[in-house]
Amino acid sequence: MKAVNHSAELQSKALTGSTIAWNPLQQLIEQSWSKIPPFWPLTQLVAVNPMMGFEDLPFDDALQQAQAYFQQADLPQPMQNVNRETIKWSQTYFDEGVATIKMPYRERGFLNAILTLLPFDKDLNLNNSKSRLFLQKNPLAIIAECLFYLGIPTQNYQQFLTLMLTTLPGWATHIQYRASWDDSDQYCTQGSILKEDYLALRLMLTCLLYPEAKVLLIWHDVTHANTDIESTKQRLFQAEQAYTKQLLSQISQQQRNNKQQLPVAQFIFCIDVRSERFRRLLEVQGNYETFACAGFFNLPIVVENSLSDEVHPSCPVLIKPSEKVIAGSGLTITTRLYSSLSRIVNRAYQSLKYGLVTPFALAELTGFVKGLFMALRSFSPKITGLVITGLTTATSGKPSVHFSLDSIPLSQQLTYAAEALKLLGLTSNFASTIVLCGHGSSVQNNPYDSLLNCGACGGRHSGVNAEVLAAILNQVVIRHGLIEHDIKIPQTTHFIAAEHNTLTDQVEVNDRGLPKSHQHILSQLRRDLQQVSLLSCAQRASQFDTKIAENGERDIKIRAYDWAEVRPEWGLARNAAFVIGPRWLTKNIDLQGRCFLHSYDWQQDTSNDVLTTILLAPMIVAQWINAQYLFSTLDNVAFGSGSKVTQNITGKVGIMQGNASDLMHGLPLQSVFKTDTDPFHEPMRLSIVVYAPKDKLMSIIKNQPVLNKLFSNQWLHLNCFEPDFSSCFNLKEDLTWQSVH
Amino acid sequence: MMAVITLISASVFSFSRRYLAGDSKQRYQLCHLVAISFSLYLLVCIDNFILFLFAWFISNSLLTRMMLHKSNWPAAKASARLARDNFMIGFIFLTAAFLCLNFYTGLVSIQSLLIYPLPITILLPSGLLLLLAAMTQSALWPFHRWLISSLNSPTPVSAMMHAGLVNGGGFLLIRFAPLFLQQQQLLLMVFLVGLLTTVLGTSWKLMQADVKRMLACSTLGQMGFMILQCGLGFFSLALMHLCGHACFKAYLFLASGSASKEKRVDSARVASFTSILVALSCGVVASYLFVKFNQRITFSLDTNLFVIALIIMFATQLMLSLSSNTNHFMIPILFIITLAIVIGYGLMLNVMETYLLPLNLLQPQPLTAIHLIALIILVMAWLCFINRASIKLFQRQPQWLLKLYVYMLNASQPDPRTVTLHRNQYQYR
Repeated sequence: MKAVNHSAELQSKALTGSTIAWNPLQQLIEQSWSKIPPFWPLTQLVAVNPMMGFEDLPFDDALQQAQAYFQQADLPQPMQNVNRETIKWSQTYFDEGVATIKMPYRERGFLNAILTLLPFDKDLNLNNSKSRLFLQKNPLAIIAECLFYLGIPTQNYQQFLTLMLTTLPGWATHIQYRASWDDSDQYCTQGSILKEDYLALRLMLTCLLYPEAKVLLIWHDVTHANTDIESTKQRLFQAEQAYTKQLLSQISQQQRNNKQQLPVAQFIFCIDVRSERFRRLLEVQGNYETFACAGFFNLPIVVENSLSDEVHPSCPVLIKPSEKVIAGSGLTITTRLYSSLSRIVNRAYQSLKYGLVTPFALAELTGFVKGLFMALRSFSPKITGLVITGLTTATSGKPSVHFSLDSIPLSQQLTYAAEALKLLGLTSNFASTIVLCGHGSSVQNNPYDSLLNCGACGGRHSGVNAEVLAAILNQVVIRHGLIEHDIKIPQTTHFIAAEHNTLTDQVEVNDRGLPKSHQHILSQLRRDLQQVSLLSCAQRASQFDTKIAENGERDIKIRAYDWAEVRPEWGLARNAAFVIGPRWLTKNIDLQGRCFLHSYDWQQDTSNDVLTTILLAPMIVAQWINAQYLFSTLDNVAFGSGSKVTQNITGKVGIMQGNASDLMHGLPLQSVFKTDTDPFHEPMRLSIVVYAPKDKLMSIIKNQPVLNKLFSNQWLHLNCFEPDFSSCFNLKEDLTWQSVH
Repeated sequence: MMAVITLISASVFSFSRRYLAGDSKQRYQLCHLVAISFSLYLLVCIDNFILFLFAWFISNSLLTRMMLHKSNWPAAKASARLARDNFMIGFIFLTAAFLCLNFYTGLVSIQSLLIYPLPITILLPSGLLLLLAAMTQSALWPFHRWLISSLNSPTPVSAMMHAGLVNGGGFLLIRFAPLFLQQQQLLLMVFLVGLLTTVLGTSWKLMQADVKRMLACSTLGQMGFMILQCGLGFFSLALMHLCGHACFKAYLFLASGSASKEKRVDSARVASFTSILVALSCGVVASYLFVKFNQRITFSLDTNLFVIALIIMFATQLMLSLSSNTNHFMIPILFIITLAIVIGYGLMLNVMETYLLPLNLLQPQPLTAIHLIALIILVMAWLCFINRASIKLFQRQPQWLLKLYVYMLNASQPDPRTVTLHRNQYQYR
C-alpha cells in the first residue's frame, strides 16, 4: 500500500505546505496559499473540492468562509485594476501554445520575466519613487517591502496575503496546481518559488495601482459579518436527509443471496456512478457478476504513445506513477504512414495559418471548403462525426491495444495483480471469462471532455489500464505467482479488456488472443452488451427530455457527434452516495446512476489494508467530485465556470468568460443545470455507506488524520451497516456512532 | 454573396439550436439571427441608397442587440455599448457621404450615382466619408477597439459578426468601386489604411494567448488585407477574400471549443540556407505558373507586383514548412505538390474573376514609391519572421524589441470596461 501513503503525504503537502519554513514570512506565504485548491489544466481536468483549503473547518463554517472569500458581490475598483494587470501577465506567461510570438524571457521564471518587461509598460505609470520597488529581484524582499509600503499591520500579514489570492481566485488555483502538483513545469524548478513570485507580483501591482489597499482588510471583515448561510444549509440538509433515509432503508431490506451458481462471465467496472446503471442493466441480461474498483485498476502507470510521443499519467492524481507503458509498438505500416502524412499536412497548415503574410491566401484557399464543412457539420453531425472519428483512427490507430509489458518488472506485475484482486474481493470463484472494463467519453468540440473521462485516470480513458491488467493476469507466470498469495485462478479463465464509452454506452471489447473455447461466450456477451446499451441510452435520454426517450439511442448518438452540443452527457451529475460493500447490497435497487460503488468483502480484509486504501484513495476522489458538483451548483459563478456560451479558452490551460476574466475553475453551467435557472444536479454532501463492523471502521478513521478531519468536520456523512444487518449507524461529528432507525 | 450569407447564417442557426439549448435567451437569439440574415440580403441586393442606409442601420442594431446576451453582466453591456457607438459614428459617416452625393446629383440609385460624372470636389469628400464608414464597420485602425472587445458575445454571435457584418466595410468599398477607381489618391489612401491594419492585426494575432482574441485580431488583419486589395485596385479579389474569409472565420469560431486539442507544431525552426533557396525557387516557379493559369494577374510593373510577391511568399513558406524534417528524395514530390496547390489557387481565382468580369472590378493601378516601400517592408518583415528561430540565437533581445512587445501587448488588450475584473460580476442569467 505504498501508493496510499504517498497519497496521504501529497494531500497533507497540498493542504498545509510541507516545506519547512525557515523564515516567518515564508511560513505566512505557505499558510495563505493553503486556502487555495489546485485546478488542473483543460487537457487533464480532475474534479477538485473548491473549498479544499477549508477542510480543517467544520462544513458550516467553511460555507461561511466561502461566502466571505469567494462570493463577494463587489470588489473595490482599484483592486479590479490590479486584477486586470494580473490577468494580462498571467495569461501571457502561462500560455501553453496559443501564441506564436511568445513572451520573451519566460525561461527566467514568472517574476523575473515580468519584471524585465514591466518598466516598458506605459499603463502602469511608474514614477521614480515607486520604481525602487523593482530594484529587488528577490520575491521575499519584494513581498516584505510591499507589505511595509502598504502599511499592513504585522498581525494581519497572513490575512492580507490570503486576500491577494482570493480576490482573483481562479488564477491562484492554476498557480497552486503548477506549484504543488505539476512535476513537468518547464520554467519553474521549485513550486514554492512560483507561489512567492505570484504574490510578489500581486503586491507590487497593488502598490502601484492601489496604495490604499489596506482597506481591503476592513472590506473583508464587513463581507464576513454579512454572510448568511442559513438557506444553503437548509437546502443541503433537507436533500441529504431525504436521500440518505431512503437509501438506507432500501439497503436494509436486502438479503444476502447465499451460494449461487458460477456466473458465465464476471465484469470489473470503475466505481464511477455511470457504471452503476450499466451494471444493473447488464446483470439482468444474463448470469453475470459485476465488481467495481477505481478505474485505474490499481496500476500506477504512465502511458507513452510511441506514435505521437505524448506521455500522460493514467492513474489518480493522488498517486505518483511508478511504471511506464509504451503504447503503439505494434501498429501497422499504413497507420504510421497516414500518421506522418497528417503530421506534414498539419505542419504546413499551421505554418501558413500562424504566419505573417500567408493567412490571407490561406483563408481564400480553404475558406470555401471550411464553409461547406461547417454547413455539413451543423446539418448532418452524424456523417461528419463519423468522418472525423474515421480520420483520427486512421492517423493514430488504437495505440492502447499495442503495448509491451517489458517495462514493468515481473515481481511488480505480480504485486499489482494480487493487490487489484484483493481490493475487489475477487480471490476465488473465478468465471471462465472476466472482462476488465475501463471507461471514457467521446465528445466533440468540448473543452471539458477530459472531465467526462475516468477520474481515477486523471481525466483519461481507462481502457489502457484495463488492457494492461488483463495482459498481466493472462500470463502463466503471474498465475503461478498468485498461488502464493492464495489466489488460484483456473487455467480456463481468461481476462479480456474492454472500454465503456459513457456517452454512447457502447462497450468495445478487445478479443485479441482470446482462446477459441471462449469465442461463443464473447459473441453472447456482445449481443447482451448491445442490448444493455439500448436500454441504458433510453434511460439516459429520458433524463434530457422525456419525449425522446423512445428513440433514446438515436438522440444519444447525435449528442456524441454534434459539435454544437453543450450537454453531451450528464457525467457524474446527481452523485449522492458511495457504497462500499458486496454487490448483493445494492443489486436489486435502482440507484439511478447516483452512487459510486466499490466492491468490498470485510471478511477477507483481516489486516484492514483494503478498507484503508478504499477510504484514502477512491473515497477521497469521490469526495472531490462530489464537492465540485456541489459548489458548482450552489454558485456557478464563484465556484463554477459559467455558461459555455460565452467561454473563451486561454493558453490551452483554462477558461475565461468573454474578453478576459478570472480563470474560471469549476464545472460549466451546462454540466449541472438543465436551463439557466433549473439545476439538474442536486447539491448534497456525499453519503458513505460501508458494510463492515463499525469498530473495524473506527480503528481506521482514528489512525488516519485525513479521514478524521473529513468526518469530524462533516464534509462527508458516514453510515455503517453492521454485517448481517444487526444495526445501522451514523457517524456524528464527535466521531461517535449513533444508531439509525 | 447571397449564397455565402445563406450558408453561414443557416449553419450558425442550426449550431445555435443546440449550442444555446437551455439558455433563457435562445429564442431571442434565433429570431435576431433570422432577422439579421434578411436585412443582410436587403443590404446586398438594394440599389436605392436610402434603403441601403436603412438596411445598414438595421443590421448593425440587430447585431448590437445580439451582442448584449445577458444584460446583467456589466462587461457584456459595455461591449455592446462600445459597438453601438462605433456603428453610430459609421452610420453618420455613411449618411454624410450619401447627403454629399445626393446634394450634387439629386440621385438615390447607387448604380446611377456610380456612372454619374462627379467633379473632384464631390468625389474626394464623399470617397473619404465612405472610407471612414468602411473603417468603422470593418474595425480598421483606429476604430478597431470595439472588435477586440466584442468577445463577451455568445460564440455563434461572434461567428456571425466576424463572418458577416465586419465585412461590411469591404463590401461598401466594392459596391462603390467605380467611384474609388476614378481617383488614384483615394485608392492610395485606402491602400495605406488597409496596410496599417493588416500589419497591426496580424502581429497582434500572433501574440494573443486566448483563442477568441486571437481570432478577433486575425479578423482585423484579414479586414485590413481586404481593404488593401481594394486600394490596389483589385476589388474583385477583395470580394473573393471577403467570401472566403467569412466562411473560414465562421468555422473557426464555431470550432473554438476544440482549441485546447489542437496540437501545435513549433513552426519556428532553423532552416538551412539551401532549403530556403530551394523554397524560394519553388516560390518563383509557383508564381510564374500562377500567372500562367490565372491569366488575370500579369507580370507588369503595376500593383500586380504586389499580388505576385504575396504568391511567392505563400509558396515559399508552404514549401519550407512541407520540406522541413523530411528526406531529400521527398523534396521533388513536395515541390510539385506546392506548385499544384498554387496552380489550383490560381484557377480558383480565375473562375471567380471570370464570373465577376462584367463588373470590371479588376483594375491594377500604377506603382508608386509608397507601394514599393510598403512592399519592401512587408518582405523584410516576412523574411525576419520565417527565420525567427535563427534570430533568437542571439542571447539578449534588444531593448526596443521588448518595448515594442509590451506596447503591442497593451495595444491589443480589450477596453478595460469590457473585461470582467471581478469574477462575481459575471452573470449568466
